[in-house]
Amino acid sequence: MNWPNEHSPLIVLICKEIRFTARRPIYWISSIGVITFTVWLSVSTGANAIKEITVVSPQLARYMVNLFPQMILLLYPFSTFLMISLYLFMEMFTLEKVQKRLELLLITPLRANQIWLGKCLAIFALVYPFVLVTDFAYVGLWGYVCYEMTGVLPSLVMPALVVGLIGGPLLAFALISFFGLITLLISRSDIAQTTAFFTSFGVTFGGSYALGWIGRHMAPGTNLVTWPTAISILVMVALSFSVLWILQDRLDKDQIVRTIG
Amino acid sequence: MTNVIEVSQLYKSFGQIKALQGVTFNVAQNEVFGYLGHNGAGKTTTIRLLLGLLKPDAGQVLIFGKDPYPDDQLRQALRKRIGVVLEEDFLYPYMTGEEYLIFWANLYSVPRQEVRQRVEKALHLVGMAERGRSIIGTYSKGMCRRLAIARALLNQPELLILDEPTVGLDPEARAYIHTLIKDLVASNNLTVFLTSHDLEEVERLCNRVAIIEKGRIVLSGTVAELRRGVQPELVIRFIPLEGSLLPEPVLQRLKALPFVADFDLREDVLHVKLIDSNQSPELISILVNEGVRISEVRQHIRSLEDVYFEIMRRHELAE
Repeated sequence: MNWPNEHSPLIVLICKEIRFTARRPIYWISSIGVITFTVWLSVSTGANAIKEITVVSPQLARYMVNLFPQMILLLYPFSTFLMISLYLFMEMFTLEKVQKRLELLLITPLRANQIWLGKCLAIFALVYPFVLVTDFAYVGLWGYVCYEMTGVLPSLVMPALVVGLIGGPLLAFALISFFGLITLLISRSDIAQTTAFFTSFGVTFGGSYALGWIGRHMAPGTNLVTWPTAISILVMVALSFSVLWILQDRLDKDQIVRTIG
Repeated sequence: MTNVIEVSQLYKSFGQIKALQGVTFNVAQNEVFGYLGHNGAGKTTTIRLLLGLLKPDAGQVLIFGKDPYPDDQLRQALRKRIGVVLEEDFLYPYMTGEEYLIFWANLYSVPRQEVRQRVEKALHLVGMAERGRSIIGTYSKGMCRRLAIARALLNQPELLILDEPTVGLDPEARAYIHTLIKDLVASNNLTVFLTSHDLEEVERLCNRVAIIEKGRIVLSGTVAELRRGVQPELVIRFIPLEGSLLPEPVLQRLKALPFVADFDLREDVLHVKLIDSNQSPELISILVNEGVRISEVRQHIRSLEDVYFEIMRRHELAE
């Protein structure tokens, strides 16, 4: 295979964003902090609940051992992606625009939508591995804790894994990409940053509350994440990316530069 | 001579603000073209239109014969022929100078095997070879400016657009950049479009100049043509008479002369603005006949700064 003699500007932008973000301690500190907090919170909350339920009904406890990972995989990969990407979003979109470096990028051989795409893909490449680590760390730790407490290993259902590994992170990626697009088109880019911040925390806390409520009202023996749920989420992902694709195609330099000031 | 930049009847508004109102000018190949104006006169808007960052409301911009605005592959190739230094440097403070230039060279698709060589050459050219491996955040303002110029040269541009390249720099750094621009133009067949507040800089570097005010070009031409466009000034030193510097009848006579546009008496020096410089001998002869004892006569060489301020004053009066 012959490598092209020149670099593709899009690949150059992606590599630059990844390389220089990965060199910064704040990226590692914040990402590892979010992972640790998420895994600790989900395992410790679940373990305490299982301990209490085991006393009342060992059969219900065995059911909850399998239900908890479904709840976590439905919500946390989505919210973990959002929370880790907040800092990167600020660096790559908000500050880039506020500090006007975006104007300089717009006069390079990069097209406006390539700048957006390059930054979004860099965010994905920097965040997705951490979401996978969170998923596997949670599943491993939960299995260990459950085995120690009940002597039973939790069984994972495939739809929950599909949501946790693919659907949730991709849906969060679509949302962050949408905020990125909005940041390019509005003059108050701090508004998009604040909205992204509140959305990620709102989804995490609101989602946790909603899942708790659903868990309490579910008929014992049923699964929370079934194939219809997983497919619905994947359809939402596909729709989100379709909308983004249409919007990015309409990105207009004049509009972006007017909002830079 | 081929025009690298052709701008005709360009209009651009932002809401109620009319940034450009019918701007027209051309920049020929190998020319250094100065674009002068106050803050808010329309310089940055013009540059953004030249770079294809903004879409004109009306009129046309052609760079190397092509409209720079559409965001397509043809325009991507066009952008590789242009080097730009904007008013601010917009560098990434966490990179080293060398890393920054490598990133930029790759972004402009410089062939892989040439990247390192071009980066070293550009750093050497701007006198930054020693500091290439330092973090940009540790650079002085002058060094940042030089790095921005090095960046603009990486793609070996045919057109260099410089937006106030020496603003905020100390005299030494300014002189260095002036010499650098002159050398680049001489050795690289470059065409330069330069905006500046510094009239001395424009006078030193530019072949032709356009002055923009409130979105309109109020004057354009070579510096010599611009000088000719304003009234010639004669400076006459005389030996004062007892009692008064110049007797009232002499002043009245001066006022009545049809070829005198204006005059100003400052102690023993009379500054006379003539409508036509050919009338200088006649003026001298009238003053001598009136009894004025002249000790020195010279034509005041108007700097671009004088010309600029006079044009601005006239423009304001006309409005």
